[in-house]
Amino acid sequence: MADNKQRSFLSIRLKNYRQYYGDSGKISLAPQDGKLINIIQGENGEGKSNILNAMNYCLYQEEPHFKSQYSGMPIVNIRAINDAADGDEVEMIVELELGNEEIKYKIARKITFFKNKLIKQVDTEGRETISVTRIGNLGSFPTGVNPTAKNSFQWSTGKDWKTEVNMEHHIHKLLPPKLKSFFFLDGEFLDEIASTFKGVKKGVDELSQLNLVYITIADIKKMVTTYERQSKGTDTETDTYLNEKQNHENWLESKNLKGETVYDKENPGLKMEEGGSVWYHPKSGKPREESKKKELDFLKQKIHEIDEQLQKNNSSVSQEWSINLAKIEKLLPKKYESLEELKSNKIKYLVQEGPFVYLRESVTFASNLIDKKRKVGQLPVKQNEIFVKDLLEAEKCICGTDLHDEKARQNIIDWQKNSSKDSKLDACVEIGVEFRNKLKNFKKDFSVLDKFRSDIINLQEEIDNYEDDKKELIAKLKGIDEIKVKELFSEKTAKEELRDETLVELAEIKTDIKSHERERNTCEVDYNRAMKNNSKLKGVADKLELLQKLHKTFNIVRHNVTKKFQDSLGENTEAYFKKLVWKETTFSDVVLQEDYSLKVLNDGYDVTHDLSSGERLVLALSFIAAVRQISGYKFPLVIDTPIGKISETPKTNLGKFYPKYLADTQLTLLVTGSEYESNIVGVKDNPENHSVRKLIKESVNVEYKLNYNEKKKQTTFGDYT
Amino acid sequence: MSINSDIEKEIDNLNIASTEKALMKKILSFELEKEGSTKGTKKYTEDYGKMIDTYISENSE
Repeated sequence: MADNKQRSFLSIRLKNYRQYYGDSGKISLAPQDGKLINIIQGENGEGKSNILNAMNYCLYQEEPHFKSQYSGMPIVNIRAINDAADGDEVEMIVELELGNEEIKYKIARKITFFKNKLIKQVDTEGRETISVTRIGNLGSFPTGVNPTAKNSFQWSTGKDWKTEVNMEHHIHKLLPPKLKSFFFLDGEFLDEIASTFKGVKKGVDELSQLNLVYITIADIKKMVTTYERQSKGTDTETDTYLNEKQNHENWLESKNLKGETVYDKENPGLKMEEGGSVWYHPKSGKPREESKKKELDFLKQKIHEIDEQLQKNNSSVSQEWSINLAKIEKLLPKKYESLEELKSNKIKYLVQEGPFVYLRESVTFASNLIDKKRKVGQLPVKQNEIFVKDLLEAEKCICGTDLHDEKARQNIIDWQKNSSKDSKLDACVEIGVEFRNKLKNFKKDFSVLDKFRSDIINLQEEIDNYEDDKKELIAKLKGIDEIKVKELFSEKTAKEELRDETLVELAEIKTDIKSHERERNTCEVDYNRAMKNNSKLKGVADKLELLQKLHKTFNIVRHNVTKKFQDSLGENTEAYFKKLVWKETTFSDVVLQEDYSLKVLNDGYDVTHDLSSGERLVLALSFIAAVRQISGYKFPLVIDTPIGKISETPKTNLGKFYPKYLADTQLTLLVTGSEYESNIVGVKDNPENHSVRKLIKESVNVEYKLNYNEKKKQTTFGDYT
Repeated sequence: MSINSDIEKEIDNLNIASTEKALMKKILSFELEKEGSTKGTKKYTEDYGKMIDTYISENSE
């Protein structure tokens, strides 16, 4: 019953499912005349998301697009329950038909129960509510009822329908559950795009049959082990090489001799979730490398989350503010201390130099006097005394007076006596030298004082500025949770250190893995040679050699196909994204990671988390297009509120692009009236201000309008008018 | 269901004997059949062994 052609939803039937009261009958979605876009229009709360839920419920018994206001509601329509009398049977049906011109699939979930008396309870505010109980995957039902599920999976290539027993298995073949979020899109998916993409690896592996290659490799390995076991105990040399080879393999797989995984029990791994239990990394080899890689991803994610929180706290700026404030608070006491020291030094200088400054005029006068007296020989005084004695002995004065005359001699002696009264002035001769020097350096000394004064003024100004900055920073930081910011930064630093340690360890593990692989291969060559030399083991040796080669070649295939798919997925996603997003210059690269998560880069910076809702939608659509392209898998696409959050230009682009975007893929758009019908204004490429409806008109297959009756709280499908 | 053409192409591109390529494809088809079947694991291990034995006997010398 397999087919490789594009599948479309052919119809949907809802009976008493949530707000869809009564039997809708088959609502046709089957493509006609090559038109593949279906429109179901309804306003918020009128049941658009529950169409997405109904499809998911029918396929996977899940309702992932659930609005919180319905959490206490039974899955079966309330009116249908209320209309039934106690003991009456109530029936709910969700049925989907999908397929193509070659094969059709009909999937139905039918639930029936006999109505009991409804159990009521009173809530905390005194309101009476009907008690509801969740029953497994079936959904929520009025407490006390006993629902019976009748599910069926049928397929047909002509008139007759054939029924398959293992329903879930066949549904998963149609679309693996891991991929469903890429075919049933809603806002929540878009908001969680980065994490949701990670889950797609398993789905893509299934679609591309890479899982088949993985299983083959594992099965061949099992066969190898079986034959190796058979070779044991025949000769010592073979056993020795085999043991050595297995030791390296055990190290590479972190296993003990019993084949059990060995863990590094001394070093618990990082707690990855709140309240999570203690776990340990595998001790060695590739499992440890993988485990450490996961931890590294976790750390990177956490660092990113911390950065986001810091951004929310305006922390890049506030952190700078906090640092500056701390600096100022540290600096200010020192500045005040320096100011006090300067002032004190100035005073000390004044005390020391002040008298000379204040007595400058007197010193100048005295100095001049001393100089004058020196010039006329009156100084030094002691020299006068000697000079007078000499004159008296010579009995002749320098003026020519004869000093034989007593009176003349007496006059000289009296003059000398009078002048000796000024003998203290002798000290002035010595001081006079100092005075002269002082007067000579007076300007220089005075400039020291000026320097003190200007230094004090400058420092005071500096302090005043710091005080102003401090006040300003305190005012700015008032609205910010500074403690939280500090905690976040400290957490970030710790995580960054751990990240760096993990990176180093990963590099070491990689080197060790290479070394063990090399040694293992050498052992294998020796083991094979030893077996072939033993005639008893020749048969086993041939089989083992073939299986070893198959193991290697399948691993090469796995590696090449994975790389090819990933490269293609990455390139196609980028090509679609750039084409759709209309901002080729803003987003330089779209990078697909090993785990299939996507990164959008702008000049090397990861801007994935900065994408707008519209850009995220475009990224999701681009990825879906690329997945579809590489897998060759063609499942219809349903998008809830596909363009509501997008601004006018990308809305126009999407409107124009939808018909071409997945040219052979059915697209069911669940739209609001305004996003579908309102004119798009101010867009250069849409001069006539066409609405999305007008832009995609030629490709639209059917249009339905959801009619919601507020009074009855029920929705029915109606024609679009 | 048939084997994904990308995987087949990768096998064709390998630098190994054509008989080995054929064996690889045979193994994948075998795994594909196993995936959708309810046969027991033991039976498949035996079949795997036989497939290898047959290949060796057909391609020895």
